[in-house]
Amino acid sequence: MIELNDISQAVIEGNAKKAKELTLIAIEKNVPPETILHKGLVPGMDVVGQKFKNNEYYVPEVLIAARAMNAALDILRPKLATDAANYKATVVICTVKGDLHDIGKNIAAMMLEGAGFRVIDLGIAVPTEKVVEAVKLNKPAILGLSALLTTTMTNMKDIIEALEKEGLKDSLKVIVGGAPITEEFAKSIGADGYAPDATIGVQIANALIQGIS
Amino acid sequence: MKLNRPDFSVILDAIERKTQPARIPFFELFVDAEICEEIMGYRFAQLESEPDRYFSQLISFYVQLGYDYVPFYQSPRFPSLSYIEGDDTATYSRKKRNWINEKAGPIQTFEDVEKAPWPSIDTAVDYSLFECLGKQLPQGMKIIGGAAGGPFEHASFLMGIEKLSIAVYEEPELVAELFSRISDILVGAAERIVSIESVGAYCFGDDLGYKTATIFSPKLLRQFVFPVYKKIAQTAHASNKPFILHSCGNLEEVMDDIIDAGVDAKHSFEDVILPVTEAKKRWGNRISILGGIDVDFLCHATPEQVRTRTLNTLQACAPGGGYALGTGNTVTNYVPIKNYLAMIEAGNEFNLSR
Repeated sequence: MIELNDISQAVIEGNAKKAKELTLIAIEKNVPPETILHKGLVPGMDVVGQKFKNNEYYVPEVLIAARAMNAALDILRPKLATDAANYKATVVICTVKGDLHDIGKNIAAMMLEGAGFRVIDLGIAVPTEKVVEAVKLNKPAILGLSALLTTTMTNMKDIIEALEKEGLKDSLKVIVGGAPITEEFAKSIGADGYAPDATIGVQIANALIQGIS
Repeated sequence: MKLNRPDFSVILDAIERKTQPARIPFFELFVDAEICEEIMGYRFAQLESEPDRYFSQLISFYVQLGYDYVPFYQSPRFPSLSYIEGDDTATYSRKKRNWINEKAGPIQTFEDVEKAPWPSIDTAVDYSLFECLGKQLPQGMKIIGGAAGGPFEHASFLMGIEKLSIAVYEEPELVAELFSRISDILVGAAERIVSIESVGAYCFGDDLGYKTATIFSPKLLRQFVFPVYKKIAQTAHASNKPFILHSCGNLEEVMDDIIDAGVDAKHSFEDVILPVTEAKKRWGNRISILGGIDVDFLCHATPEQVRTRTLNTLQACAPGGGYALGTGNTVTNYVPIKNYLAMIEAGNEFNLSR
């Protein structure tokens, strides 16, 4: 008998080997993949997020937990396919044009995936037009934009304006984050949410999709 | 513009908090070359090909702006790093800019550690450049600087921050060995640099945090990083010179550790984390607080707003000493020059009014 709590615990402990083994056993025992995701992995990453927020976990602990989650997700993904019903919502995320900083965006992406979102990570230094294309193609509920530099955060505004021009802005919510970003800046460019860190980003994403639905 | 003759004792008083300085000195980790050149109105010579001319120009800039020291750093010759190149988006752009690759570095295994071309203490940096700069300094002026970068930055650059984060749990012996190698070189280089008479204070940057916390837990920092700070502080103090740490991010949880390690002054404060006036209130009786005019603010404010903010900061931070005026990070090549100069002019205005 597989306890889904054990899968959660393996994620919390960052034990990738154990998370993978337990997931394989659960599949063999015919536990539905979506149950493993929502009752095993997501609660585990939720605890990780809380610990990160409370300064009990730091970047290394989050990264090893995310790696454990991914080890299990690699098994589940082909079985879950991209059926929208298996995910809370789709998030497109990237670091904006001119900015090559990766790790903050990566942690946010991992946390969102761990919270049950389908995450499409466009990478770093992504031009505005590529973001717009990705929005058209994937129809996300959330667009997450990251910038570390004072000189690149203005590109967030360009993206929001481009989405408005294309008539896409009303179909999604934009969350912004990164070292120089403030609540005031987020409001000034028309973003819907400001995430000082990845955990709060997940909380805002959850709140925003509830608002959308 | 210039009101003060360089007098290193003024900034030393601020760093050591022994007496209230005669005036509030200015401090920066450094000013980007593009800003120096724009203000001086000419391109600087290359350090590599014309060190004497370069140093003469560098000194002229810092004297003209009213500093009591010249910042000078040499990157330790650690194994070659992995970079990614991007466009420089700054106002005074250098066109392309290299950023450290966060995913990879030259050290991934014990074998890499053993095979890597580590420098000896003798070859870690070119110490003669500090001597060369020192010989040109005007009376009263000294160097603040050292081997660039602290142990955390070097470890994360050499291994890649993501790999290092995983390795602290999966290969702790490898991480310990990496930090040990880095520590030996940094401490050895510090010992040589602080013995140079014209070096007045030792300093390096070692960014430990981000907006809401440190990148590594305090426990890991206590294991790998703060012991290195302690050795460097002891090395500097043995030559009767203070140790200044520039470190970005939210360090609230580890400020006691930094102070206990013997760091004399802390630089880098960001408004979104903790305004410098609060930092001065909280820790100013135990460590000198430097800078704190937020760089993002400097980028977006008007010169008049900069003046007001600077005067308010000085009114809050000057009493009791242990403070030097400067930006919250560095004078980057995207800070508007008129705003940088407005900060300096407000500092001079404050000093004249006392």
